[in-house]
Amino acid sequence: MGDRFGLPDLGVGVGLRTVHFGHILAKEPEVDFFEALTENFLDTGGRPLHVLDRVAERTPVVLHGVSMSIGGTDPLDLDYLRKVRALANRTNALWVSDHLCFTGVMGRNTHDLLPLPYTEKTLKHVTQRVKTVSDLLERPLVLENPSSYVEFRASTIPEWTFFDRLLRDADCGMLLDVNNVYVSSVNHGFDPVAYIDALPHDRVVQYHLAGHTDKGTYLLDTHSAPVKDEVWSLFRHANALTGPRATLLEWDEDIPDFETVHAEAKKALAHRPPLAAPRVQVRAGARAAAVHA
Amino acid sequence: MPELKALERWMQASIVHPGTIEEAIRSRAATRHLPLREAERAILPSKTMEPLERLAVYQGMYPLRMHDALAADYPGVRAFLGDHLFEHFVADYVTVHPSRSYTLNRLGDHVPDFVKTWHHTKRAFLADLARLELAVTETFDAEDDAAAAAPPAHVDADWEGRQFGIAPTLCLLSFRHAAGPALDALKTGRRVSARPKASWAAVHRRSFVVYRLDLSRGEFHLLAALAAGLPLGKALRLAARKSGKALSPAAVRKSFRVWTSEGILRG
Repeated sequence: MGDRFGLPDLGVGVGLRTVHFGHILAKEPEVDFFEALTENFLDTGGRPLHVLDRVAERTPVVLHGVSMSIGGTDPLDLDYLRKVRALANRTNALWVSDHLCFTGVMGRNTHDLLPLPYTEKTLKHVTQRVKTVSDLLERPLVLENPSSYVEFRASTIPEWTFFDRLLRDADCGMLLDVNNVYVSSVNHGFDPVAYIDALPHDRVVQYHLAGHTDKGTYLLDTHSAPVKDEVWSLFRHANALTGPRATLLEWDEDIPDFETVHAEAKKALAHRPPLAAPRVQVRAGARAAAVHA
Repeated sequence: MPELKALERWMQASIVHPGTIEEAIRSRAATRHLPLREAERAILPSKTMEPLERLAVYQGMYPLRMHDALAADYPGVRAFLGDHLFEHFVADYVTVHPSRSYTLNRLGDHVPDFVKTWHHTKRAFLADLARLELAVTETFDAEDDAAAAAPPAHVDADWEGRQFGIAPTLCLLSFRHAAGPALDALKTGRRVSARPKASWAAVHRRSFVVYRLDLSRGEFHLLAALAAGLPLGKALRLAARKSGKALSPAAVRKSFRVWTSEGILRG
């Protein structure tokens, strides 16, 4: 199945992390794409931006943020969004993603991905904000399903239905984090397969995979371990519905060396097809045109 | 059912509260958005957890994130205080200066000022240490023009009127304590003296790596004068007046060699 936006399957990528900068610059590993954490590259004229520039010269880059607060009730931070757009233009990022959540209110940022009550009012509120952000970014906004640890009594719509309607109403893409679906399904007691089945599959633009930690009474999305078998199984199921999509492994705690992370990411190739054709090497200025599915 | 705005404000107030989750939802900061009776019903239980236990997952992660961010930027302050006291420091700090930025990189911007007012007998020393560590993180992210030319190897006859370009990342610092050597010691697990001892340092970046150069009082004032755009002759006279002693020609030559090779002085 093609995706709604005609965006390419970028293959299997890795998150661009500070601890790997030296290795990436020195070895220039062959990675299908890198995902950069947006906020780490705003407001810096130092090494992070230098590394991102070098990476973007030869490898496709997508941006993934954690502070958009698309579900927040504070006004959108237009200064932040303009900086995100500038960074996306600088790196020729094919898309910009963030999370369906709020991160803070009253001018504060908790730096957590806090869940929303899934109601008609929330849907209307988020839809309007997504449209505004998409216009400002001049490229598709892609929203990730968060892992969550609470459910609000006020919610009247299941998360998967909320996503289905939001993606269509706001005309945006989805970053389907399969690990998050699994974590939330255990924490809230829903069927993760039914969640995935109910999504509009043509709007899934990217996958996230990660490991989680069993805390006894709940699962915690820690990004600190290899992907669990149950998550691989869900990933295979989702792939069969969506077709191959850019797939990224997240590893953010106790990060091993680059080769280990890359090897873990490439395990995804056992569960999804490789890129259909070798990618033309990316060059600055012709980058977007040179990327082929 | 609570409105979205009220629910978000209540949840934030609850998870940033430093007490227990029960205290959090009873706090004025939380109940002004959601009365206790509503708050107790706002979250559903799971098969294994009560509503407040579930909310406490978020409350438990908040201080860890704040701690990790400040520990990364202030390893010297953390080493001096020790882990236990540093945890208290972080809790006190983020109560007064919560993050208001999209990046955690700015969370520690107020640490040098905050620590001056914190209840610690060595707070003046800690303030110096924090100022140095903040300079390091700010220099790491500062804009630079790496293509700027180096100054000429030989100063011509009109040396008094010569002006120098200065690395845009240069940060000059004067301390009441030996903050630089203390930071070196703390990073290697050694004990430090927090007694007053004036010191000076330049923090700058070369090839995306941040360096600290400890300076004499005379070097500090000379570099400050050059950074202010004064020609060399005037800068030397100003530095001599401010430090109470003129740098010897040999000392000036040596300093210039270092500053040039470090990329601090430019053409």
